[in-house]
Amino acid sequence: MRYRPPAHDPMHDTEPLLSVDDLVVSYDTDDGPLRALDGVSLRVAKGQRVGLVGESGCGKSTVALSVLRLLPSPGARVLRGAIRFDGQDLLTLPERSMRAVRGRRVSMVFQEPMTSLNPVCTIGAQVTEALTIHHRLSRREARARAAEMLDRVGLPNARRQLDAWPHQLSGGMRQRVMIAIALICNPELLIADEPTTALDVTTQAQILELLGHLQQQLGMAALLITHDLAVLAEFAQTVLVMYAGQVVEQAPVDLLFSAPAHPYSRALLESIPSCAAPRGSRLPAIPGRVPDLRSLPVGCRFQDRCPVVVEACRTGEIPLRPFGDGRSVRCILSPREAP
Amino acid sequence: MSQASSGSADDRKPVLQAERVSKYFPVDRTLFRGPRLLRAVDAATLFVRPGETLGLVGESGCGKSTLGRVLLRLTEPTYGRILFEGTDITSLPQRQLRPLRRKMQLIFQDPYASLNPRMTIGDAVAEGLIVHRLAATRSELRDRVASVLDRVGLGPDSAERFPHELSAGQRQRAAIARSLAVEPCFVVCDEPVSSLDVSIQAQIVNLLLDIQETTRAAYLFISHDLRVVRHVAHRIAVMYLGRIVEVGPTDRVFAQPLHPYTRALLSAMPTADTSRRKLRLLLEGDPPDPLAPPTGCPFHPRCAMADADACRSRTPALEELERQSHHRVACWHAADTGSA
Ligand SMILES: Nc1ncnc2c1ncn2[C@@H]1O[C@H](COP(=O)(O)OP(=O)(O)OP(=O)(O)O)[C@@H](O)[C@H]1O
Ligand SMILES: Nc1ncnc2c1ncn2[C@@H]1O[C@H](COP(=O)(O)OP(=O)(O)OP(=O)(O)O)[C@@H](O)[C@H]1O
Ligand SMILES: [Mg+2]
Ligand SMILES: [Mg+2]
Repeated sequence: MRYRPPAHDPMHDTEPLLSVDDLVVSYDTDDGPLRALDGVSLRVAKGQRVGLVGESGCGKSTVALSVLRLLPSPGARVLRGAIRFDGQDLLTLPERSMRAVRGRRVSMVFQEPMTSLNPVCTIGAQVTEALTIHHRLSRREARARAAEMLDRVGLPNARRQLDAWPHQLSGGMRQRVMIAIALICNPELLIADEPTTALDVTTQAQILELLGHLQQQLGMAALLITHDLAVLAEFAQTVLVMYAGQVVEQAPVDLLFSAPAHPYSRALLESIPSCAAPRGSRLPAIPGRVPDLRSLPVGCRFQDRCPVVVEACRTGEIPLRPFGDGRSVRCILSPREAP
Repeated sequence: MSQASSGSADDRKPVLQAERVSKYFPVDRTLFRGPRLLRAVDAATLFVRPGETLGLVGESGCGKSTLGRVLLRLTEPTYGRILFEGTDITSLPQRQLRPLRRKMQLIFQDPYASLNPRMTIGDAVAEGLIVHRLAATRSELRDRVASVLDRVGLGPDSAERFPHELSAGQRQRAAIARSLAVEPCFVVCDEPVSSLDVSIQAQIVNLLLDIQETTRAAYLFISHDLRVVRHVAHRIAVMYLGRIVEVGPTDRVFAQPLHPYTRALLSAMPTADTSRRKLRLLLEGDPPDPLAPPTGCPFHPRCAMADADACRSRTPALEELERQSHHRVACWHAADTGSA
């Protein structure tokens, strides 16, 4: 455990482990800048499990990559905002110090595990890499720890897999290797981008259980990016719903599921395939398409697809407003407004 | 609707047929010892008819992707026979396979694998159309590319972008556009929607259904999401440790699963209500190691019904329990379950 000064200031207690404030990130494209994030703020307290959901392309991975300072460069720019981790300003931290944070204190499971593993290194070499860099373990000790971690993520015959090459593993097995790599240094914060999408439900349950266990055992905090609402319901305490580069709703998980407030959150919950739907019938999909981030409409970004849109939605920027019940919503029609 | 049309379609000839197809990978080769064989797929028999979707489900690592790749001859089978539109393609040289390639497509689990990083999305989609001469003029080509991208929910601006300039879900849709642009008649969809959020998932599933309705394409639909499989598949095959342990009409398999493994899978399925729910861990015991498969029935170490003699010593064959039900199972105790 790391030493922390005793807290006298009540503010100190509530200082989140990770805070992202008003983050604006843009990508350079041939037709000009594309604002992938527009004023995103979020907090993750020590030991807290926060979920991030939203339609493909809304900027979830960009949030994760920004925190770890792994945005493509050149190609992406942080135009505004701040990212603080345990009191440190990550945006201005020298690359050397950032390297000490990355992998050890903040770890990440990348989306698309197939491409995140190095095809010319064995699984063992990749899992032990972080251990030998950060902890100076011997090769033997590192291999033993790696085998143990691979076993915990449910890889059959973990010891043998140390000498396997990535192409010899199935999609789900590679994803579990990525999870093992992320967890092996006992990070304080884990950012997991769609960590269980290639896994069947039983393996998924096993991984979530492992994450939950580590989280309790080590006080690890987690920012979980997923489109799987079942996983979210299972794992997250607080959920942020993103749409077209902005947070549109932030709520405790139970509230989000029992009474989603933003029309987009509602639509998202409705598009879960139901067992009752006749086979071959069309699934309820949200009509229309996410707006082009380079030519956004005035006002609400969801207006063209919103079933309850009114004229006022098209007039001005809509702020994220807090409700009394611990959630914030970016919709002028939210029925219950904070006092 | 695809469902109705397939009901009367039992007599139609399969587009694709596999007879006892196996794929063994040699692994662990050292200077002193020959390789051991990893049986990724073991004696799989299946068929898919035009306009039909066969769902393929099973735990991670059980051999689904390998089977899909073998059927398309992207990986050579170790044993068995593959027939495409009645022709044996098992040992057809790759050159003679080329004219068939357009008709057989794969939507990869990993979209990066099917997109050239140095080619724009528009060019990637156009490539197939050009190779197979599906567009007569330059403007027709451009229109077709735009319309395919539009159908998968990508805006026209995406045609100019490179794969790394897209989000993961957008990239998967680009890969789908590329495969479907050439109007194949057999498509292996390997976890096509797993990396997509539910609303896009629904759009893609709807798109696949629409395309099937107009082109009568046959799909082998690999997924670990039973809700999606149930929705799209007419028949469903359940794989365990390289073997198909149960196959049958989707409704039947869901209503009356005959294999204990299928029952475990189904009970782990998240329910559709959106309230908080528990993902359950239903399979006891260690995940199976394909290098050291159990003797007898591959599922016996994790099976509550396993007995000492038959289950541990002899591998059950895939057999129809009730005649004409088209519902087959490989379990020594299926008769007990079936009548229970
Ligand atoms: N390198 C890049 N250059 C240009 N545009 C990019 C780049 N990377 C991402 N984008 C764009 O930025 C937006 C946000 O992308 P991001 O990857 O953060 O989405 P996401 O929410 O993670 O989506 P998914 O669920 O599909 O993974 C998308 O519209 C995407 O096309
Ligand atoms: N090229 C290879 N060399 C050696 N073993 C391989 C190779 N490709 C696959 N395997 C092994 O074959 C087995 C089946 O892999 P496959 O990719 O078919 O599984 P899958 O059912 O698609 O799993 P997932 O749901 O995780 O994608 C696994 O044990 C895997 O390690
Ligand atoms: Mg992403
Ligand atoms: Mg696979």
